[in-house]
Amino acid sequence: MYYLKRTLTAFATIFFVTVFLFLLLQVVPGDPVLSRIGMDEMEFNPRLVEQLTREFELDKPIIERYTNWIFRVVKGDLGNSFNYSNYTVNELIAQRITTTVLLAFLSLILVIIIGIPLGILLAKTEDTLGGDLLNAFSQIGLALPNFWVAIIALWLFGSVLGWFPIRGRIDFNNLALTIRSLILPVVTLSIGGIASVARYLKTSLIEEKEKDYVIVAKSKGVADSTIMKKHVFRNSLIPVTTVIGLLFISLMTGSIIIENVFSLSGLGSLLITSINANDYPVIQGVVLYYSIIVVLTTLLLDVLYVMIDPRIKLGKRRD
Amino acid sequence: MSRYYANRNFAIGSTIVLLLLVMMIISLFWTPYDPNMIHDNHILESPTREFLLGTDYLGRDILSRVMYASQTVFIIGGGTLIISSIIGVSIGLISGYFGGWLDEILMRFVDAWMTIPGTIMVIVFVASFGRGMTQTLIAISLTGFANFAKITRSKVLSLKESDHVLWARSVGVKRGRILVAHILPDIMPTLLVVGALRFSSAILTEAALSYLGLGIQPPDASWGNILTRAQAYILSNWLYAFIPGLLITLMVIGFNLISDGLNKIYSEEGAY
Repeated sequence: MYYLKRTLTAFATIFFVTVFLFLLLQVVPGDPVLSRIGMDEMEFNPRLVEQLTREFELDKPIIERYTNWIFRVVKGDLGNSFNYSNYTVNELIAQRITTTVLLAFLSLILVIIIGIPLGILLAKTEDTLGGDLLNAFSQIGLALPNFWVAIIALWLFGSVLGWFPIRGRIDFNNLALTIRSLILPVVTLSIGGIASVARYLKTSLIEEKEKDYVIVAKSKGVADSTIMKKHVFRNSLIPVTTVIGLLFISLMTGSIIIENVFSLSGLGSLLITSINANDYPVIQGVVLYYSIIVVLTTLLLDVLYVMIDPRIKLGKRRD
Repeated sequence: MSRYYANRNFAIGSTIVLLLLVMMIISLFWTPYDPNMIHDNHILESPTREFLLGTDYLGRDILSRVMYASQTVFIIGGGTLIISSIIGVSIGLISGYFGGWLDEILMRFVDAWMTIPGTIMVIVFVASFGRGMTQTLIAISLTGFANFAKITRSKVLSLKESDHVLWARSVGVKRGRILVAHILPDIMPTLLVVGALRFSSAILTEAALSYLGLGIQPPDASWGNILTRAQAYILSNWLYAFIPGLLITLMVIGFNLISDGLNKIYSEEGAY
């Protein structure tokens, strides 16, 4: 029952998001016809203007446009791009989604394999000089704007030292180039995530260490390392799973800016190009994809959370 | 104030923010050159004694522009903080105190709002309402208020049953007055902790947005939009790109440390 209700809410949310974003995009639209054909044609070729206006459905009322759009979306058709003639939105997204998902996924892995050990280390070294230093580093990691780090890293390791390509390319026929193109983007995208996972795990570990059952186990003479491994670490991981899920979302959206720094062609750079060209079908399509990914990730997370921690009361809202 | 400065995080954080604030105030009255003045014979110059950080692609003094841009940061950070906390706290107070169907509707709305990822919302907002200071300010405020609403509501729920509120109700203090005079002051510590964090995330969002060309538009300066150009000319002058980013980082660290410090101080005092 809980899962069913949760799934229904997820779909309702996606619907709400589409309506909201669609309306928002219609409020003060720039002129997509103008962006497509330019000023000259706009003035001297009224027939083309009329034809495009009809093709883009700009002459119809908002509600009709929305219903047309949503019915086509349900059938899996996101429409045609205004800007890239001859391409459907589906084709454009299909070409680019691999890069974005790959970037977010690799960063997630990096965050986990560095963030978790770092968190444990932070908790262990609390109140020592080394710990303070690590703590300061994690504060800096949290504050660094990732696109700035990316700019500086691209300059230092790309232009000055020549270790990595300046213009990245994801091409599975050229694996070496792909890997070299991905290293800097993945690392720069991960920094914030590593810092936040480490800090979160540290707090969670320290809180858990002070709970009654740990003290009882200690007084019974159970070895510290056993307590840590068997109980404390496990229980501390529960809140961390939520953070990691949220992190995947923030990596997906963070990828928008990183793709732009490294000129990688992913969903994010497609979104920015489309905004600059008033290419509404593509903007709507990309945003829809992002919303679906976000909503499904949160859904998955909620389900996982209940499975991991049976103490959560089903059906009650968490406040 | 001494109890605040005894906390190391708060002391370091507020010192950093204070220094940046001083720079901002100085920039209101004095910058080495007019930040928009074009020096024709000095395009893309490396740092010299005349232009301490060099000049940009139009021949404007980079140091002056960087100083001028600090005003933007405080406007965006402070402005979004004010707008989103006023909206959020009002929703939270009403929702928590009155409960019932009003609470249900407001919280459903806030929950749905929170599922829209912030970055996406901001980008779509500026895509439809245009670019510039006002739009950026509103867009970032819209992503922040839900958080304030949630936190305020949960605090109100627990404070509603506390002794001093029950006492006020029993002697007939009006509802509006109870909310403002008896509940709000108790929520303040939490709001300050959350507010400092909102300030730094607003700064980061604005910088990213302006870097992408969707936020603050030239000739208005922002550390983010300076970086867009600086990236293109990084080979001729790396300080051009280094300094704005460093300042963003410092500002964010400053507010994060203030938030951390306040959190520690208030939880030790039992103010939560």
